[in-house]
Amino acid sequence: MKGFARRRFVNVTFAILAALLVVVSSTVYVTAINQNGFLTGWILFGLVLALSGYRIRKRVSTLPIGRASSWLQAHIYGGLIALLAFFVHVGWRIPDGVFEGVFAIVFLLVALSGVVGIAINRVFARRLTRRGEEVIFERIPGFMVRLREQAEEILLASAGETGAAVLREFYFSRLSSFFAGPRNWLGHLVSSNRTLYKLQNEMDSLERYLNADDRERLAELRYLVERKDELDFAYALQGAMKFWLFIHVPLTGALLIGMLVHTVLVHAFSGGLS
Amino acid sequence: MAEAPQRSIRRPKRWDQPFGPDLTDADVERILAMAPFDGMDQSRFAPSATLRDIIRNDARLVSYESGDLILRAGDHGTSTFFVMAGTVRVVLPPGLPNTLLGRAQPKQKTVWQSLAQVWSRPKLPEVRDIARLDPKTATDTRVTEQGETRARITDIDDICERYKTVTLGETEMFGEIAALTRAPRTSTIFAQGRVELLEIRRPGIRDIRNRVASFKEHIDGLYRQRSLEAHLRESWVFKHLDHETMSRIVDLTLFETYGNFDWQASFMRAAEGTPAERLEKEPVIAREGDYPDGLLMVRAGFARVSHEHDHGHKTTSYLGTGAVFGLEELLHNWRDEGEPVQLQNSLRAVGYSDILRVPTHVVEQYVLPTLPEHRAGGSIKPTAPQAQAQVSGSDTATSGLAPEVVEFLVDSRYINGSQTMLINLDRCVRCDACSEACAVGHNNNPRFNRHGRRIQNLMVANACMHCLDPVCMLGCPTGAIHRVEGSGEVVVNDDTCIGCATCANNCPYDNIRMVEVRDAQGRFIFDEITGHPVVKSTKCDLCVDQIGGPACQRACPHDALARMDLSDTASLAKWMNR
Repeated sequence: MKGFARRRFVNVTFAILAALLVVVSSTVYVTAINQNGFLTGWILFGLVLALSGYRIRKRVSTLPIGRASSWLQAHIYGGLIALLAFFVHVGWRIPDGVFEGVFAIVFLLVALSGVVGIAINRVFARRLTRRGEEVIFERIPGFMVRLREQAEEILLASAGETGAAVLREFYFSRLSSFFAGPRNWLGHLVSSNRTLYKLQNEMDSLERYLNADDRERLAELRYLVERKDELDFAYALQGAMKFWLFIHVPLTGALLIGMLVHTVLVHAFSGGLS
Repeated sequence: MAEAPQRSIRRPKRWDQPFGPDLTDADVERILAMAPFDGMDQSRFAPSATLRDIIRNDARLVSYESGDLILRAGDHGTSTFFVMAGTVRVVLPPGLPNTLLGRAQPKQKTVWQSLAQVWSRPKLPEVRDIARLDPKTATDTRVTEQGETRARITDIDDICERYKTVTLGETEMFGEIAALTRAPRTSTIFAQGRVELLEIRRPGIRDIRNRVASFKEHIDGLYRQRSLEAHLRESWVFKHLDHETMSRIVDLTLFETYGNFDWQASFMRAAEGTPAERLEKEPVIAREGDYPDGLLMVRAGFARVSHEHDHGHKTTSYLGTGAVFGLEELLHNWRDEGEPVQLQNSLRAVGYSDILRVPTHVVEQYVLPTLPEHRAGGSIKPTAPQAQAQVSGSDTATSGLAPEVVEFLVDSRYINGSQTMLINLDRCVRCDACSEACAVGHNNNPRFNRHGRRIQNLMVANACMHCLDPVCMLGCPTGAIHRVEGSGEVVVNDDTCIGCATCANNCPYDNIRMVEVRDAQGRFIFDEITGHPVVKSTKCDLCVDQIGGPACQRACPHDALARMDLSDTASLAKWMNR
C-alpha cells in the first residue's frame, strides 16, 4: 500500500475507532447516568467547533500550523464522525420541535453539502483535466466576450453583401444568445453535449443555402461555437467546484449560531441530572 | 487560394552580433600585441575563425571607475577578463558581506509577523516603502556613458583594510573558470582606480582554449588544481576514494563541452520541432553501440539518455550535475561476464553539457575494484542492446515515470528546476488557495501563475523553479538577483533591483514578472527624470522569509501541488504515482 491508499487506510481506521468510541461512550453514559444526549451533545459541539477551525486555517496560510491537506483530511473524517454523533444524539429519529427540526435540517444540509462538495471536487477535477487546455475561471468571461466579438466581426463582414440573410438570421436567432454569456451550465455538469450537438446540426443543415463566402464564414462560426462550448464547460465545472462552498460555509455559520442557542436553551431548561 | 510566396533570409551566422561593436582595428592590434595573445601561435586557428576574428567579435573593451564592482562572488557569468590597464582588487574568502554586494540576507518573520500579514497588508498590490526605493539609501550605483548600471564600493581603503585582498595588474586574467564551467564566481573583484579590461565571452575563450595548447594547459591546470577533485567527488562513484588515488584520476581525466552555452535563447524555438528534429539538434556525447571508452560524468548542464526504439529514440532518463554514464557497461566488461557489451544508450547534451571523461583503463584500475558491493550490482544483457537499458544506479532512477513525461521534462528543459511547481490536475480543484496564500506573503500579488504547460494530468506552473543553471542571474547589473547563502534559493533584493528586466528577459520559462510599484497610498511611483513608472522584478522566492516554507504547497488542501527537485527522479516518480 502506498501514498493516498495508505493514508486512506490509516484515516478510515482512526475514524472507525473514533466512531466506536462515540457510540460506546454514549451508551455507557446513558446506562450509567440515564441522561440521553448530554455527552453526545457536547461531543457534537466540540466537533463542529473543531471542524469550523479548517476555515480559519485557510485564512492564516502563512502560519506553520500543519498543511491544509492534513486539516482537510481531519475535516472530512471529523465531519463523518460528527454525522454519526448527530444521529446518536437525536436517537436516530427526526426531532419533533420546530427549532430542533430546523436545526437538524441545517446540520444535515451542512453535512450533505460537504459530502456532495467532496464528490464534485473529485469528479469534476478529473473531467476538466481530461478535456485538455483550460482557462482560469476568472478569465473565462473575458474570453467569452472576445469570442462574441469575433463572431460579430464575421457577421459584420457579410453585412455589405447581398444575400447572406440566412446566415445573419441564424446568428441572431440562435447564436447571439449562445455567445452572450455562459450557457448550458446544467448540461455540462451532467456531461450532456445536447446544446452543442443541436447547434452543429443546425449549422450543417444551413450549409446548402449558402454561397462559398458564407460557407467559409459558417465554418469560422462553427469553430467559435466549439471554443465557446469549451469555455462553457470549464465555466460550469469550475463554477460548481466553487459554488458548493457558498452553501456549505454560510450554513455552517447558521449552524454555529443555532448550536449556541440550542446549548443555552437545553441547559437553561434542564432540571439537572435525573 | 494563391499560396503566399516563400520567404527566405540569409542564415544567421556566429558573429552577426559582435560582443563589442565599438572595437576598432587599432584596438584589435593593441590587444594582439599584449600578453598572453602576443605569444599565441595564430596559425593554430582555423581560417574561418582566426584569433583576430575572435578578438574582433567575441571581445570588448570595458572601462571601470575606481570602486566599480566587476564581479561578485556567487554571481553567474560567461565572460573572462584580462586587465589591459590599471589594477583590480580580488577580495579573498570569506569575502564581502552581502549588503555590500547589493544582496539582502532574508530575515525570517516571527510568528506574530506571519499572522499579522493577514490583516496588516496593504489592500492594493505591490506597495513599497518609498524611502527604501530612494537610490541614496540603496546600494551605490552609477550609470556609464553607454547606459550600463554599475554597482560601486565607495570606501575602497576601508575595504582593503578590513578584508584580505590581492591585486591583479596588467595582462593578468580572471573569471575564466567560472565562465568555462558555468560555476558561480568565487571572488568579488573591484576596480582600484580607473581600469580598462578586455572582456571575452565564453565561445571566444573556448575557441582560444581549444587552439592554444599553453592557454589550455593553463586553464585546465587551474581547474584540475582548484575544482576537479571536488567535482568528481560529487558522484558516489568517486566519493569513497582517498586523496592520493583521486589525484591520479584527476591527472588523467579529460574535460569536454557539448552544446550551446546560451541555450536559453534558442530552446523555445527548438522545442517547436518534431521529437526527431529536437534530438537531431542535441550533440551526441556517447552513442549507443559504441565502445565504452570511459566513465562519463556530467560536470554541469544536462544530458539525455535514450536508446533506439523502432524508427525513433526513446528517452529513458536524464542526467544532471554529478550523474555518471556508462558504469554498468564498464562493470560488465571488467567482470568479464561473457560477451563484452557496447554502450546500451546514447547520451546527448540537452542545451549544453560539460562532461568529465575518466578513461576506461583508469576506471578499471582505480574505481571498479573499490566500488561498494551493494552499489556495484546489476547486470545487462549483451545480446539485447536495444532493450530497456539500465544506467548508472540511483543517478537515473526514473522507473515509474512514463517515457512521455520524461521526454516532456527534458524537451521543455524543466529538468533545470530544483523547486519546480508541479500540479496534479486530477486533484487540483482550481480553488486558488495556493495563489491566495502566496499573495498574503507577497505584497498582495501572487508570485506565480497557476497556469503552465501540461503533460497528461501534470502541470508545470509558471513559478520560479530555482534552477540549477540560473540563467536569470546572468547580467544583473546590481547583483539584486542572487542565491541565498546556504539554502540556495534564487531571490531578488527589492531594494537594489533597478527594474532593467535583464533577469526577466533571460528566464527561458517566463517565470519572472516586472511589476509597477505603488506608494503607501496606492499611487504608482514614477521616476522623477524619465517620468516612467518605477518597476521591480518579482518572482517566487520560495517564501524564504516565511516560517514553514513555501506557502503554496502548505495551503493546497488537496495535495495537488508540490515543489519538486526534478533531478531527483525517484521522488518525482513517487509523487506522481501516489
